[in-house]
Amino acid sequence: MIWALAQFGILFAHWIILTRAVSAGARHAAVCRFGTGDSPANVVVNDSPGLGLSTGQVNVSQAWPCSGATSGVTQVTVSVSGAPCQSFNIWFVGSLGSICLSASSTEQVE
Amino acid sequence: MRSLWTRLKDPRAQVGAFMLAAIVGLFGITGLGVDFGVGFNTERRAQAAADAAARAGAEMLPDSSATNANTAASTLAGMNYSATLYNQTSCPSITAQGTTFSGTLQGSPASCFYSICSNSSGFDTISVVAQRDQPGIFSKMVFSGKKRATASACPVRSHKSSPLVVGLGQACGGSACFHGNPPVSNDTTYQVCDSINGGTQCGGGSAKNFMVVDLNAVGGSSSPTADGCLPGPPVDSCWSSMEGLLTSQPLVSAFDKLPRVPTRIAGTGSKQVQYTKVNFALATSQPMPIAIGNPGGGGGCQGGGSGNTFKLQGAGCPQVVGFGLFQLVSFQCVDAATGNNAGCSGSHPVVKSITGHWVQRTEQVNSCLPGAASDPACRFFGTKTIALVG
Repeated sequence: MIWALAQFGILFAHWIILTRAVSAGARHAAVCRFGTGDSPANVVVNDSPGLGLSTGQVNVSQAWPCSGATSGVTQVTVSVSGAPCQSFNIWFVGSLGSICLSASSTEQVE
Repeated sequence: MRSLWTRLKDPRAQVGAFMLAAIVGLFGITGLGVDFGVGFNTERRAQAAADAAARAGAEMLPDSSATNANTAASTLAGMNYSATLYNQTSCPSITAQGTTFSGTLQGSPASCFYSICSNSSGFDTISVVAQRDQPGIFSKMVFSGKKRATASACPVRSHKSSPLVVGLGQACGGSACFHGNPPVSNDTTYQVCDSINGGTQCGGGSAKNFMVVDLNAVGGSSSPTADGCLPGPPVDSCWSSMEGLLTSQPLVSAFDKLPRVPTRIAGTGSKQVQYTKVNFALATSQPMPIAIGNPGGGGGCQGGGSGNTFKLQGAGCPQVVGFGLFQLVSFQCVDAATGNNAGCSGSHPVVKSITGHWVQRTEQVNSCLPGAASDPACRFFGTKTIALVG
């Protein structure tokens, strides 16, 4: 039970970090028309330390920078799917499988 | 048959009772933990949906209608979470004036917690509360309540603001003239033409080096222009021709960071002025974007113009021919209604003079983009601030 609580806690912490990072990436992507500084994918990776994400695992629905014609008329979605994954192992049982986290956030392009 | 008390004296029975209690306790705590996690998840997602909805709704204000803000907020809420947005009849954090939009968000029941309203002219505030019932999975075995996650966000969008225009070819007096390359690096004091005393300081022999230009038709023009998209030949709706400049130069971030507040009116009669208060105090830490123009040029205030230069409606009808970044060092203020020196903390402070140096400038930006009038990006010329305040 203690092991399960610890594993759940770790997974929960990772989920909070991931969702916050994705939200930050989406808010950053909302100003893609200006397109300066880090890309939204980099923002997600930088805001999720310890999760081992790479920019290739972050999907952003708009280019960076994006066209000026997108402002106010469309949305941008930043998502991470299937990563990071956490394995559940018991030393005397072995692997019980793994759970992969996903998160998504959508903002209106400004 | 042995009594219960007799049975409990048996060590095996005692162990069994303790085991039963422990199992019930563990499952109960585990269930509550899971329910708490699910509830926390619901609340976070509802908060994200409310924030995104409020930002999207505010983006539509005050240019567009409250209905469009309604649509945008609903769309973003649905895309982030299937939380239901409700209608509420009052603004929780501002004093609403005028008409308050009282529609319901798309697909939402006609009950509480949603509003688009204003504390000025036009709709400039939207408050969104997203709710979602989250029934407990384990806790409902103990009690039959539902967890309701509520999230609120209230962005306030400022109105369009006025850029400062520094004049070209005016009687600007020596070093204050804005001519020559490269940009001036030493500090210079410029007088701000502020329309005080009926605007007499804004034209003729008393023309100053700066002019406050209001893109919302302040200063005598009768037809408000649409957020920087200007009417009339030869450069119909040409603010968007600045698009390339505004999106590729540091002007963008500078414009975005420059703090401003809605246009105000001060004074009475011939001394009445309408002005946009610029918080220069907060602008000293970074270069200010300033439009470079020709105050009074172009002949007349309603149309016309010459060449490919810009023509603004408003006092003096300056032609804007470029933009620059001005590193503000210091400034002096007067009262907008009286013209008296009242400091920058007076009742109607406007800036009388600014001192600093240019760090970048671009002049003679002439080209208009065909069909750019419909480019929604042109409305971003004005500064705006969308802040989540709830």
